[in-house]
Amino acid sequence: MLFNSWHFVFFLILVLVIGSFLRRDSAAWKIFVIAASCYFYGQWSYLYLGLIFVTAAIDFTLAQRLSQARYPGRLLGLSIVANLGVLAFFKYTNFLIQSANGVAQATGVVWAITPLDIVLPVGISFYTFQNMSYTIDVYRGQLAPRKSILDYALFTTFFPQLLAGPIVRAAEFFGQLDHPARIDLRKIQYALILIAAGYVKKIVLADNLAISVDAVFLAPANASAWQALLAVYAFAFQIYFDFSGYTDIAIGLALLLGLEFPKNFNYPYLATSFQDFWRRWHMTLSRWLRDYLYISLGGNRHGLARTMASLMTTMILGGLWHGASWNFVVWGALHGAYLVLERLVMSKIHWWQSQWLPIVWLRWFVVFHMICFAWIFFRAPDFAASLQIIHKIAGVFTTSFDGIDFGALTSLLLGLIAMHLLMSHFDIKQRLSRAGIWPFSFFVAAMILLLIWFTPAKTVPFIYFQF
Amino acid sequence: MSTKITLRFILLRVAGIAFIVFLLEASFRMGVWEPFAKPDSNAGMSIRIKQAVNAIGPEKIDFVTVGDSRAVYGIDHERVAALAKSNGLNHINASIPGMHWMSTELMVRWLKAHAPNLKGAIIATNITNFNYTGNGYYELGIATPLATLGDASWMALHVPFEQKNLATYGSYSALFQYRDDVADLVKHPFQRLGQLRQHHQAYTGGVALYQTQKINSNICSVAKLSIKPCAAEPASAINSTVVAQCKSLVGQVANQLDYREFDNAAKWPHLVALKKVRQSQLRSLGLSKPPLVVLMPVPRVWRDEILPKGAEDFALSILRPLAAQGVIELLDYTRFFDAPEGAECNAFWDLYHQNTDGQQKLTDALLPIIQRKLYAHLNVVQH
Repeated sequence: MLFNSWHFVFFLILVLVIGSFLRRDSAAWKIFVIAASCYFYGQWSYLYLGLIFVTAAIDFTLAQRLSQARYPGRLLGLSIVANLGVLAFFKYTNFLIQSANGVAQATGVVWAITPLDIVLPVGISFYTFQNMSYTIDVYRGQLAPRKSILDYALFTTFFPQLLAGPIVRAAEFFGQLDHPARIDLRKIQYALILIAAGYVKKIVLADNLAISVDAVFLAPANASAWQALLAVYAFAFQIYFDFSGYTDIAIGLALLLGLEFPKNFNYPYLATSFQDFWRRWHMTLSRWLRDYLYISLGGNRHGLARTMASLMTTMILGGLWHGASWNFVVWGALHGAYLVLERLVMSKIHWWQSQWLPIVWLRWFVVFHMICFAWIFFRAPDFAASLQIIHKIAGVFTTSFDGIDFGALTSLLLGLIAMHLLMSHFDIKQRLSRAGIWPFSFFVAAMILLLIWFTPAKTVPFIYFQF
Repeated sequence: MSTKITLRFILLRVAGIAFIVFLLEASFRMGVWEPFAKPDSNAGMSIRIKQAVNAIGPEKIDFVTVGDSRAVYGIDHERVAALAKSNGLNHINASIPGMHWMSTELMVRWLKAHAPNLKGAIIATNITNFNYTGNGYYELGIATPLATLGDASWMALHVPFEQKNLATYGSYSALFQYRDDVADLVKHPFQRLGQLRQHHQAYTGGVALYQTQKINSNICSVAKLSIKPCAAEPASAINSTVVAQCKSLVGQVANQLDYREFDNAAKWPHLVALKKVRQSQLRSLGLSKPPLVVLMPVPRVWRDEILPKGAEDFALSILRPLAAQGVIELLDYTRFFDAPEGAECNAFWDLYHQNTDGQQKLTDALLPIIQRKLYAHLNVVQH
């Protein structure tokens, strides 16, 4: 069931209405929300819903035993192997087979394995990481094992974030179950604003940008240099609006159900360093990678070389987490290299860290363009297509503007950057959450109008659902 | 906080949002967008006619010609208007490319509501227009500026609602209907400004209501007026339009239907239903004189290869009983250019539309009948 479907809208209204009546009976409310979440996921596959429950049951059971176990590390290892095993099987088996076949072919070995007929369960990367964070936190003593299986089932299946995050930590989730926040009318208003804005980001902005982006990335040979360049910029904003739109909707839905989720985006394209970018982009994944991978690999505690190695490993695995292809590995490696390079530059060239405005703008320009460069590998269907796009873009230095809608797209992109800047300065959503009935109604009505007028003919699924 | 307070809070806000959206919908229905609509869009063409009618004064209108692009190109509207004027009458042309039965009805209804002296109409249609309920959702664009709230069911009958096709929401909402227009304005604001200015300069004072489109080229450069050979011809500067049309019609030739048993409800239920709808529509036009239904000329290739077999008989089976009862005056010019040999290719500029030569020949034939059936015996005062 897609968030951007009428089916979901009706489902949501039903869940909110029935949920509000069950709110006083905590157990009944939890059972109801779990059932609704199962229905939500089951619309895609009831079989894979079973997989969610199996992995959740393993983690719940192992976490229960961790505190009394003689060798808790082994139980944690078992949990990690179970989670990563499931993820690896569904997500990376065919990638490994195809890579092995490629190596065999390149070395002249007559050997090929037929790829398996595996369908990737939607949201597997997200709920696997969420489950792992629970057992690791219990192992580290940062969280007491949850006694109620109902709570744990709710944590794992909660539909607003089941498919694409935000990756919520168990402590954040259970804390709110134990001490439910008072129903605050401002929060409800804020939630509705987030949901309306989220839909506009996804459908009006991301899906319209997707038309220009797809035209270039699916047939790079037909694109001109300027079209290729603009498509890369457009994709940078498409993926931002697509994913942050989803996140806004997810956070808004959770808020309507009484749970506050952490922020996942903070105007990432205003970042003036790569470290800053990763503090603003997919913040809950960055946090997860930092706390459970980067720090476990040694973090910055063992000298510069080890720090660099940890950074590179973390980012490459982060890239691979997104998708099983070499393009994602390259994307992750590029970001790893950016972070490493940044540390080196900052330690040697001190003026680079200056807060003098022209230097800040220069940093922003460099960071934004290097991020856009990395997006080429993220979006292109394969490595060859990525190189083709880069080759095309190199032509902008020798050709004149020739795109048909060049003016429109350029204005749109400049508008988006300006909007990014304005929105970060005036937190409009927060302000509106405190506003009276009319400013709020005008805002939501404006969002509805934008949806009516600018919804493209073709519905595009959320990009992060494929991860 | 109680559930009651929360629900009241949410309901109040939902009501606030709904109020604003409905207010906008109402203002769009009342024509707030019309001055900004793209002049050559489907909606823009209807709006252009509305503006022109208001410019000349709706009370001055006596007769109207309605029809699709075949009517736009097929009749010399200036000569018709001149003939009317010589009788002390005012005959306007409200034909719009793409106009089908849904928008024809709405145009006549709109004129009846605004032009108190409207006496009669020429409905210039053709046998192809009887085979389908509607002309696709783009006809909603033509219809919306003419429609009222009560017309929603009439529009939905012709353009069925599809949940996944937002264009079909236009049957019920003007906000949806102007989707493409608004999007186009946002994409090309300066271009729109220029178009509006140009349109304003060219069409002040109702000029659009009396204009004749004239195209002099013909289709005689196509070696054989048959779809498959025509589609296979190498396209040149002279025949490229027709060859492209032939190519787009090849699929229909391969799947030509057979409507010869059009009265068999078990076999063709939609044709039986269509017949009832069209007859009932023509019966209820409510004009003081029976409308002149002109079946415009259609090249032979349509009848032989593209349209369902029996399509011509089906159209006539709808109209002839009405003509016999005096509900309409029927003028069948479908085969007007069939003979002599060579007349047909010289009368059209593409597979659909007559050129100036064809237009003049048809107008020559029409004018005496129009004079006799519509204008004669009218005791009118010179405007």
